[in-house]
Amino acid sequence: MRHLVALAFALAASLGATFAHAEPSAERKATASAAQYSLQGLDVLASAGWGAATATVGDLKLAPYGASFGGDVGYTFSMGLRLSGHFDYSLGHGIVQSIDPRIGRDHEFTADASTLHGGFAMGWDVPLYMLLLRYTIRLGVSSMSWDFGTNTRRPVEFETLQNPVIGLHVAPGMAVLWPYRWFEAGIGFDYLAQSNYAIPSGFIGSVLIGVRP
Amino acid sequence: MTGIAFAVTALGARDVSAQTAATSAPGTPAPATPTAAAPAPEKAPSDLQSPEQASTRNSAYTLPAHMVSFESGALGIGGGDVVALMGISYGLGAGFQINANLAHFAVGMFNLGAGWHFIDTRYFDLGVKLGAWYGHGKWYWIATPAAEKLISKIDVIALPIELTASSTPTRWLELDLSTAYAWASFFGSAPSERSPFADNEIGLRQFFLRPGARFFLADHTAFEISTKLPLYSGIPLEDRTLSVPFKRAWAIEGGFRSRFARGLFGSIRLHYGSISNVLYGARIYPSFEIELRR
Repeated sequence: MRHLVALAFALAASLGATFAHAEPSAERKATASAAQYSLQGLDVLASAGWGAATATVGDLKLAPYGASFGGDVGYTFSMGLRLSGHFDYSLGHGIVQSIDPRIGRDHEFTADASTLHGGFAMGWDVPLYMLLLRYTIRLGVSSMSWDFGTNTRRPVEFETLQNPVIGLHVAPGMAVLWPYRWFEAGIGFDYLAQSNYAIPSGFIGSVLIGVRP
Repeated sequence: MTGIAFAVTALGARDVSAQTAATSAPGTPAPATPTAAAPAPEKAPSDLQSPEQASTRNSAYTLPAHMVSFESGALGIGGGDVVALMGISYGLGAGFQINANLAHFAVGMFNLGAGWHFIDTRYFDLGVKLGAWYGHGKWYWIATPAAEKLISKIDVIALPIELTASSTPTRWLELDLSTAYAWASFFGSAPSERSPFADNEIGLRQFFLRPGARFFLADHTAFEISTKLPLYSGIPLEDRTLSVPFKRAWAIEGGFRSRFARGLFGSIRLHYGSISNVLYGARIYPSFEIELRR
């Protein structure tokens, strides 16, 4: 996770330096080019990426994100406001962990989890030279399926919980897109801040490919 | 004061009109000479370094005279924008502004802030910000049941003061350096070291430096990064001050701020630090903010 954040900051800083060193006339031309691009319209995006949990559930480490795939359909108004709906599936993966009970022998088990997310988003598209900077705030529902194996007693945090466990999330995110005619592609991230303590919050970085019909 | 005024004059006041002309949006009609018959042309939007659009967060700047700002956001960390932000700020003129976070009133944390941008030159600015906080534990209803029982027996008073220098050596860079001291004291019958007021750092006695930089990627977008480096942090107890180690009090944040439309700004930041872990259960956490200026 630290490497990912460092990479993101380095990328942002290098982008800044590159753009800022550009000649003023080049900047104006580039901005003009972006301004000629119409923001208004419908777009459909597919995403594929990787996510990591940034929190634990008590002492339990869960990885409900991992490889993630999703879709997003939205409409952008001419002013830049974008309203959209999204649906994502994170495959997650298992994490081996050990339990050291007060009574009985230590034992290990694998905590496996995966997540479905869906909801609505409000965002704003800002032309940045030939690119499009997209700010988003997602509001939605996460459904996390979990599996601790058949021969294991449930961890105390999950003793009374149903499977799947459901919770609301707020997800600020950003994306940098390169729109070219009816096609667009880019990279982005969403940080899912989970309201249900049993679903760890997490960060998903994605590659985005879409069309603007 | 006369000396400062002379120095400001000698260094040269910020040339806002020149900035505005240089960064007008392409395609915007050139301002015509006003005549008695023709209405005054609409002013073209300037850039994020202009006084009307400069960020007042972690900088020396304050709002221009008679400008009002409404801020709304969530998931912030530390002091003024922790958990929820529904702020209002007003520029009084002569570099003064007042501000308050109304969202914190709703959870029993009454607050008022004031700022004074007292050195305003082309390349160097200096400003001071003061705050006054009173937290009534009994009204802090968002605490967990266990914390609620504890916090209901204590109140907190905090008085932060912050001196910030901002410099814009080039059109694409701004450097900020803050020196801040926050004084706080608890009143009540419960131990204060485990209270949410200590967790959100409003109840912390702290002396820190905050260097930061803003890279202006375009006239409407900036990448901002800053880090809080506490030289001293302590939780005031009844008979002593409990020291908080550096590794539990330092933090770093980075994010983007853009002008969405005239007078409308948005930002998304990522924070890393122990305080994020204490407040939200994760060392890295996002926050977002929308600001409307009129």
